[in-house]
Amino acid sequence: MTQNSIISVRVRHADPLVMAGLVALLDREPDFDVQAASDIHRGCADVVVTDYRSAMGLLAASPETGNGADASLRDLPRPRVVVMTRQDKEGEIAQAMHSGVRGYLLQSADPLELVDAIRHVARGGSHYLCNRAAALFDSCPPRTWLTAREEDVLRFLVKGDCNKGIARKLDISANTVKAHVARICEKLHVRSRAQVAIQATQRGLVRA
Amino acid sequence: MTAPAHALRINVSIAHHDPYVATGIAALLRSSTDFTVQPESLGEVDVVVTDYSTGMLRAAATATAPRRGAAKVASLLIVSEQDRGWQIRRAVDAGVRGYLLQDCSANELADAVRCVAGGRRYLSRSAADRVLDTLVQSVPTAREFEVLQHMACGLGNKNIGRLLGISEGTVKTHVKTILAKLGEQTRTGAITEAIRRGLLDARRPLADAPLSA
Repeated sequence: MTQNSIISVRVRHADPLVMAGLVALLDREPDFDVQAASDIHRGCADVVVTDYRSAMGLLAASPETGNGADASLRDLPRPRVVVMTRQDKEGEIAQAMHSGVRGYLLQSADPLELVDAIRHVARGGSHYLCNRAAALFDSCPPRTWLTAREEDVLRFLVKGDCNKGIARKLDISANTVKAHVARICEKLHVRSRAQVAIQATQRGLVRA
Repeated sequence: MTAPAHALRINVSIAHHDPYVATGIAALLRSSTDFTVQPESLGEVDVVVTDYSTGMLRAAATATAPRRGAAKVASLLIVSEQDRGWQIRRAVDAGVRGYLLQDCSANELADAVRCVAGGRRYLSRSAADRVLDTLVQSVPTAREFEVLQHMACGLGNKNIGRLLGISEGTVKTHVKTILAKLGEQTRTGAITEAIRRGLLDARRPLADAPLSA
């Protein structure tokens, strides 16, 4: 990509106010060709700027490996997605990056960061996080991630179920649940169930 | 400014910390002919569109400042992602005139600005929904709220009693009432529900209470 080439940017955001703001801000860049899209799935662009949910939907519809059932999707290049969102929980950021999002910006990020991210991603770069998202993401090293089973346990724990109740719902023994809860407490560095509930809500570790 | 010719124009100023929402609001309002978007320094403003924390600060400042003669006070319209019933009520209590959630449409934004400029109040449909929820929910008393905050830190009844200088039995009674008011059967469930309603802030469970007594 040469210095002067035009970058086509497709913008689609669920919030009309943010949508209008994104279009107005990006239109100021002379080398951006901004398309305000009503349908994010149609057409192609160098970079797609969108909200969290649309991004996840878009990436789920175009899997990285070509073994998707839909042959027409297989031939399309995987879109380069930049997320613009208010979702600032480390669990959400980790999930987005894991799904193949190239750029992740919180709405508190300076518009200059967004422009930077779009250029970076258009060049083929990956993993552009705004300063605050990067700080949040780095604060959770992989060894502290909860396993799928621990997440199951956590979901019931947060609702207030006791170990026995969780055991019945997951069809495992109460002792196994106890071990999971102990491990969850250890990973979250807390000592009580109440603190687990607070931490899990605060850090977005349970999906609503 | 040559006001008379545009007597019906509404002067709006934007003080929103989110640069994308701020730009979006300005762009949307400018596309309609009855709004003038201008910085507050440029003269009298009818409506200030703002975010939650800025709005709360300004509302508090307006409430305490002495009224200077006939000077017009701009009405505050909050556009925020804060959608917990109690947070919206706190804003209305503080003197905010209008409340929109951030996923509102362009039309709703324009309606809200007109409404607030006309001296009326405006709650978006989803905000009204949340506020109405709070009207039918029982509210913990100040003391129960203190107990709830300590519960959220994972303290047991005995320790809460020691911190608040009351007996364990009294704490137990408070906890029982809290669970009943929140419609939950366990402590953990009550904490999650309190966060959902906006009674507790997940980031700062001890928001207004001392950390150690």
